[in-house]
Amino acid sequence: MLASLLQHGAGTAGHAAVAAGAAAEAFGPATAGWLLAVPLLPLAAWVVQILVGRWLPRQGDWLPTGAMGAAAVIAIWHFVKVLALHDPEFDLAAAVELPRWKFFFSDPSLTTGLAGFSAGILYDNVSAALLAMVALVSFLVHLFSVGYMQGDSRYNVFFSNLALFTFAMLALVISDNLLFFFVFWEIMGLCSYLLIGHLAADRKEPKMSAAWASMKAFMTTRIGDICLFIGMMMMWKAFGTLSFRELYAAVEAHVAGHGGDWSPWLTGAGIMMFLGAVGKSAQFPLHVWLPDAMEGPTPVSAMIHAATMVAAGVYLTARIYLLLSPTAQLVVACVGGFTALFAATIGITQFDIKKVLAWSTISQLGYMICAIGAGGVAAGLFHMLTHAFFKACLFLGSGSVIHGCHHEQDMRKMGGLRKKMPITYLAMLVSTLAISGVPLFAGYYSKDTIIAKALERGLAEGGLIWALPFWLLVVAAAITSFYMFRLIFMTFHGRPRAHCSEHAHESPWTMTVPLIVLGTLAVLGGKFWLLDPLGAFSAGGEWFTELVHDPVHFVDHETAHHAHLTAMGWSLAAAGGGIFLSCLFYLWRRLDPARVAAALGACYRLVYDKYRFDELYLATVVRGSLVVSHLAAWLDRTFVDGLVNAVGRIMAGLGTASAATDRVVVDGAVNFVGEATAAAGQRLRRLQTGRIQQYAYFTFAGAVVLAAVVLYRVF
Amino acid sequence: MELSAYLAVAALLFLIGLVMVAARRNLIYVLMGLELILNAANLNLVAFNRFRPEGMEGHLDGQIGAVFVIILAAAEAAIALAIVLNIHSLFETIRPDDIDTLKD
Amino acid sequence: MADALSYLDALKYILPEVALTIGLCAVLIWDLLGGGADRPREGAWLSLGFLGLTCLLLIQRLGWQEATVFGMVRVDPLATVFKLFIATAVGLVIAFDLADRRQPAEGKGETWFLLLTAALGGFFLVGTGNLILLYLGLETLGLSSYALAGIHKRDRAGAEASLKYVVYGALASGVLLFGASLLYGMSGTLEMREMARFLVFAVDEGRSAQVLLPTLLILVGFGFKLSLFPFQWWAPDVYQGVSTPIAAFLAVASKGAALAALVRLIAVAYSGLLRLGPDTFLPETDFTRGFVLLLALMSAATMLFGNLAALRQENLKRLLAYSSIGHAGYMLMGVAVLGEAGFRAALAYSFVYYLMTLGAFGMVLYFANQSGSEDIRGLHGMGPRHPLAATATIVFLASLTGLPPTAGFFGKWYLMVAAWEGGLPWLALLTALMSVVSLFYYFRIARALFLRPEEEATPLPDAPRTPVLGGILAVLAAGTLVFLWFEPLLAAASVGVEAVLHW
Repeated sequence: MLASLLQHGAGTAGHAAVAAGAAAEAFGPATAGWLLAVPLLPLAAWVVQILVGRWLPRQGDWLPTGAMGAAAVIAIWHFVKVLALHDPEFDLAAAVELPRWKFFFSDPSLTTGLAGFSAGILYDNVSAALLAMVALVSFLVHLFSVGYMQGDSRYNVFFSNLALFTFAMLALVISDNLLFFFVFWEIMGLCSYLLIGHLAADRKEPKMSAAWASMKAFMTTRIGDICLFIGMMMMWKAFGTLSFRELYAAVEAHVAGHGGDWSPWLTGAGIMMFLGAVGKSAQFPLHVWLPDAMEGPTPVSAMIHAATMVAAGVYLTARIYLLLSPTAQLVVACVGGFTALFAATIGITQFDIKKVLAWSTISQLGYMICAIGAGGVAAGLFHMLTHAFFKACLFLGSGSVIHGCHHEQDMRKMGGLRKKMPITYLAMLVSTLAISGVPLFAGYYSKDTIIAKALERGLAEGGLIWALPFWLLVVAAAITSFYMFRLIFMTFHGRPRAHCSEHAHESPWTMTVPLIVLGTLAVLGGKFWLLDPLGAFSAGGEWFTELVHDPVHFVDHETAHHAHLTAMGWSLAAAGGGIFLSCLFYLWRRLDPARVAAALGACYRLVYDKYRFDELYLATVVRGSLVVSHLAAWLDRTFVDGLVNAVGRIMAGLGTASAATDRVVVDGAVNFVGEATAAAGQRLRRLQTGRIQQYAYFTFAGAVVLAAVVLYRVF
Repeated sequence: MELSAYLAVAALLFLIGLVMVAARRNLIYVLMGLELILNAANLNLVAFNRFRPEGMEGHLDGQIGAVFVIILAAAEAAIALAIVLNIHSLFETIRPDDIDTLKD
Repeated sequence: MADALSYLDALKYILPEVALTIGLCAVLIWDLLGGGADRPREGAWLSLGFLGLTCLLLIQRLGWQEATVFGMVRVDPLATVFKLFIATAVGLVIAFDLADRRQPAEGKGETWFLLLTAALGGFFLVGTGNLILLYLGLETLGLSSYALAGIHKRDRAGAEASLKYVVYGALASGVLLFGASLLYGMSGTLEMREMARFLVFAVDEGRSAQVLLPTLLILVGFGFKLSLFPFQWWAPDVYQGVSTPIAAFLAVASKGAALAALVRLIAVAYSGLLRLGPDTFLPETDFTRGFVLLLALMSAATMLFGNLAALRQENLKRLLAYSSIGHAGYMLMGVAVLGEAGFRAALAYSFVYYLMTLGAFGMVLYFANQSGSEDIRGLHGMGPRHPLAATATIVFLASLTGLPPTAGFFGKWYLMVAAWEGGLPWLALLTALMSVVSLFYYFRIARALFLRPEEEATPLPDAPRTPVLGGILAVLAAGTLVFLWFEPLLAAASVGVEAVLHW
């Protein structure tokens, strides 16, 4: 769609007409219904599951799983049709009449706010690929959960939450405007909160750390969400629309109207919206929630890391790419590049198998974000797809290992599992090869393209700062292959190092089938070089970059070719070097990692403690708010008490006066002076709320202050 | 008499009422303070009506309004006294400061 | 045209009020004949029947020509819509009260009677352009509420709540009356519409401060009813002390009526001093700037107070009281814009507020019926056992927080756009910030429901299922969730605002 928009003007009318005709032929009028069914099936499953799931046979696990299966079939079926079209400018809206829904304010007299807001379906090459990927991976995760979550005390609740989670992501992918995008984005946030915290409500052994992790995830991403919302408001204020297509056109016109210059506020709005993605995709400095999110059950981790949450952030960055000024793009690229390297270094030091994978996800997301910032939108999205396959496979594989090892997660206690869990081993090995960027595996193609794009942009822009992303990515690539093979060697090779790994066993079929499917995709996902020998769907290159083109090309073909070759050389060297080092340390044991760690000393500790970011945030944000609350308490003691005391004194005086009046007016015999003064003294000693007359003082004081401020400011 | 004299008395009554509500240690006096505030407003209404500008003398809306307010004040006093009576039987005190079980 | 109405025609216009009055007399007589003690359910049906009739009559009058009846009662869309608001809210409160198993059975007849009287007071409050009738409406609503708060004679918390409510309420309405008498003195009339001319005249003469003082005094009265800072102190104590249905009534019906009356007062009496829409500024006066600043400061302080104080509450009703203070701040933000868009946003938000706040109080009631506790602890582990009510609760909480796709999000969005375009961007940003803060305390409830293991539950001896309540909760949740609804809500608000602005 990005491509189609930019090239829409350039493409000849004749070509467009032919393409639209072909698309119209492939997609009948019922297409919109089919596409809507993809998110609506899990939604319907959620409704039924949450209401009556408890009383269904097998607690209703088959219902969301079946619905997801159907949704996946529909999504893939449509994706295959899109693939067969070979049209980089494909946009369903141009081919068939799509329904649009008018919302809220169709009355034109209501001109402010969201007047005349309408929403529709956005289905182009990007959404088609993503929809198919999300539906497929989610279905596999559902299937996996049937085995993995067996015996959970809230089995039915888990499935209903999973279904809602999937619904939100699927609906987000086909939203054609930022508002609905944001709506589903937030539903997803809510579901992630419930799912990460799932084990906290376990009837038998509640896991309190999960409750904290879910809170942390929700709050951290909310910070990004608020930024995204403010960015949206800025866009809305400026252009009066939130539809992606209209925003592209409006921004293009705005920039053209200013002689090609980007206004600073546009840069600001772009960065604000990108911060939303920083939160959701766990980019530096809002990355802290993702490793903790491992407290959720393993299928949830797979879901968050591959198909939903984090993918949504990358998808958002891709969708708003055309709204980003060059400065904002530089910020995006640098944040991505830095995150890629930073998270990779932490990955080396972790021993918890799931934590290693979590940091690797953050690092890989850095790649995607960096690619998009550098202008390689297609490359970033491509890597997101291939990453979804191999990362879901790795997570489910780790789940299988953990399941087999009786819920042991420490790699130091594993080892030698190769023989006991052959299917899991193979699937994870293949995925590791893919994530390391070994040629012929899916990850190679996408990662290679990303590094090439970063280099291209560096060459095109010149200067040191734009060269940075490329080198960050190359170093990160070497580290990635090192720590991923470390994981494989520590887990599957050598001898069992603890009781639990000696008695490991292979998992049931509901868990291995998803592994096999995902492992296959980890091999074939980049190029369909086995499935498609005749080239029916692709002309021999990577299918995704043929399908989706970058909106802007920064260098000519010649330079691009050279850049690609250079990048390929560097990335192969990086991958090879990383794997070799890993073999030295963990397979052949020529080097002792413990001694290296000891030699590095403080440096190692720093990385092992994740650069102490949690501590930093604890010290700044959390302590900061504590300081504020102490300050507030101090203000309360000195200021409010003082105020009350002062009021009390005044009131005592007034009370005296009032009592004197009473003596005259009411002819009272009692000495009210004493009573009023004593009461005031009482109040001076004890400050307590819950007393109606103190409320009255506060009210007077508040009203007087308000009136004073207004009179002072205005008159 | 001047209009300002009425207004001054009304303002004084209003202030005395406010102070009684806020400072007296006895709920009955607090209620009396409330009545004073209403009467201050009534005095205003009647005085303004009486001294209204040329050409509008015929209207009696302010004075009729005051009659309504007097009726409402009676109703309010009835309800408030009933509540204070109930407080007295439950808490055995009518000092406003002693009735503070609901608080943060 | 008001004079052109014959007596019978005029009566047709106020038929809903007449029906309600007959209804409350009927309930009173039925109670006196002994029905209240023996068969409380029948009295509820009688009240609900008359409320339904009133609603039907109101719906019939939605399309009618605007009219002023008997020179005082104004029948226009704003009045009719908010009368429907009040009548339906009171109906739901009666249903809640029926479902509340923790209250003694005695005094039901009086409760129904007082709720109907309060509704009648609300009707006059939202439907008048005359300051004396406005005061009468306010007091009828207030007096009934004071009595409702203390309806159970042996309940200490209820007695204390009713005392606080009556003292604070009578004080606030007295101050309002004093302010109104000053306005009367300045303009020589009690009619808001005629007053407008004199107020403009006074401001033009440079007597802005003189107009601002009675305005501030009047705001005390409204500030009390709407629980705006610094007039909100009573709310947490009173909400906590009274029974849950009555708290819901105070939070929703009473507040909604006060908001509509405030909007009418400002839009009519100050019509010469408003800023009409984003582009059509009247020459801005000192008074207008001062008024906007005053309302904006009150709104900001209310939001801050409500949201910050709610953070550490353990009692659900107290928490909801602070939350409703915060929401009053949001609504006042729309009023503070002093323009059409702001009024519309505020009224539209009040409809959303109606749905989600009634829902939230219903939630408290439902779970208190099950666990016997109104604390957050009482909710532990309730989620999986009561999926329908718990899901509805999540929706209400999301809506109160302002998370999409709930109506709360769109209501807030509208308010923020209005504030932003009305020259108060800092207030809009504060709202966004407060919605993050509110997340902390609202989601403590969600966490208690779903992410906490069950307590060693000591269920009530015969914890009754309350299907009526469950149904109401589900309906309200659907109403809050289905944001497609927003258009009719906004249209209703819009028609109401136009009616008063162009009166």
